[in-house]
Amino acid sequence: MREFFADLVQRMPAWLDASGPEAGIVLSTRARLARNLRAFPFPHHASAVELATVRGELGRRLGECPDLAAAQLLELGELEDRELRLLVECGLVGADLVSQPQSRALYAVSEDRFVLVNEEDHLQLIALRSGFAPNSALDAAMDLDRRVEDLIDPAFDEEWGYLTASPAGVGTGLRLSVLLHLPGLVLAGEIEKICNALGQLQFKVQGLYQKGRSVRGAIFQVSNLVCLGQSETEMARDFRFHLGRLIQHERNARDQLLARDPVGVEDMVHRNLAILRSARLITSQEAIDRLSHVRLGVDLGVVAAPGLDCLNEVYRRSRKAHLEALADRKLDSKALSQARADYLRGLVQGI
Amino acid sequence: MICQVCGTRTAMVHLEEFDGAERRHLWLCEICAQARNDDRFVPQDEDEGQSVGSGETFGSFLDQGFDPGFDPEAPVHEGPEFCPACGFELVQLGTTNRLGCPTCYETFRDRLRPLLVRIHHHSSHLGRIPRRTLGEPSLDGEIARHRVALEKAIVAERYEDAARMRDLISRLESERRGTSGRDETPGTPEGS
Repeated sequence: MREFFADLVQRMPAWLDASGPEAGIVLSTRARLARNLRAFPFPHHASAVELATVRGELGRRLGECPDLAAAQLLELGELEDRELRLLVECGLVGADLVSQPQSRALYAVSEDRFVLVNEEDHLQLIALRSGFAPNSALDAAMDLDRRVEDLIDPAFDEEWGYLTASPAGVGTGLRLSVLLHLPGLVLAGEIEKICNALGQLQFKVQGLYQKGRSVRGAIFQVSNLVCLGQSETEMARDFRFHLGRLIQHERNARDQLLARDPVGVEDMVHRNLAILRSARLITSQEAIDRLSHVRLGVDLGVVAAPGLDCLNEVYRRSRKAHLEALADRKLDSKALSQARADYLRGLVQGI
Repeated sequence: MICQVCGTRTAMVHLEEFDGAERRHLWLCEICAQARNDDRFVPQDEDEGQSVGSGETFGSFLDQGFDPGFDPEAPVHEGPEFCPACGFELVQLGTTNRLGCPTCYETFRDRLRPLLVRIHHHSSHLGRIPRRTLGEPSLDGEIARHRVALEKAIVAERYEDAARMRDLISRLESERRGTSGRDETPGTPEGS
């Protein structure tokens, strides 16, 4: 298990390596299928005993699946606080589980496929992909589903399909999502219009780093809201179509920005790079904002390095649990800002 | 981008203001953002108690931004208030946005139907079906089941659903012949 965390901190996850389609704009794609056992309350409504029973039941049933029997199993209740926060920072479990990890578990089936037990639903089957690849992510998640469905006999209703804790997930139980970097649309002042249009098309848009209505670093997460009345392949087709258009809008906004004011863009990128190169203390939010401009510069060819893969990773690596894992000690506020600035200086050195 | 208030420092904070009629965007430097005395927009470190968000979490999709529009006070169909299987009280849905257990869907079926239509704009499942429910582990079985659903939709005069099921059946049939969409051409729906 310790190797798992050493790997998590040191190695680049496959879904962030910027090798996928549209990597300049899309960091990663995820497909998640929610499944539940028939005879048990959903996790939020279950007592500690019921939660443990579900965990035991699923452990027994999933153990019969060769892929899951061979998977790296993390019992979240047995992890240290920092290890849990590392998982949260990697987006592998929800932040809520840090305070209530008992009877929850994560199976790392492969580098980019995971099964999460007792979070929002009894079972979440998750596949992650680099760049914009909803079909591939869906295929991988459905492959997992086929492997486990006979073992778990999921709660299913003839009229409404797979039953989930939230009525918003009922139907396919499929949530497709992408992480997008949209600085072009933000700088062009078009982001709100685009977000409203996506909302009307039944997509949910939120900032990855968000306080109130303020979105930091122009990193957005877009996911489908509708799960009922469409097949999984129809959902993926619509998702690809509409998100593909969004990606094109962002591409156009970036091109226009560069065509209209090339020196201004260059100045913005180098100015932010200079601060990352020089700062001795930096907060996570400032880092996210500065990195956004540098990432835009890399995509537009204003600067050649760091690569998009490093910039995809930097968002988690510059956060608290990762910096503490790297330093192998707890860091107070100032030490954290210092460790972050040191890490970022190392990243942009020589550019 | 330069701060729109002081006009000198680099803008680091994007602020949206809504005065009830109009929404406007402001790009501010950290100092001017702070001066607006709105701590939501002041960058703070996660270690200072202001987390920058839970990140790309697997659980974040269902529980945020979901407004089921469920009003426990609204007049509803007659029916049980508690789920006999788990004790979940229907009024709790208004605060938790979640039901208690799979049986809740059966217990509160008639009252959930309008809610599900409001959320999803559709009322019946057209996706994958578990093999056990299907009775036979094949695409053929899935197609056969959708044909039954198609007939039901036609009888019930749900023509929009019927048309979608017809399309789904033809897609499944072409899938059975071994064709499926891929990820190479963003912005273009597969098969079109």
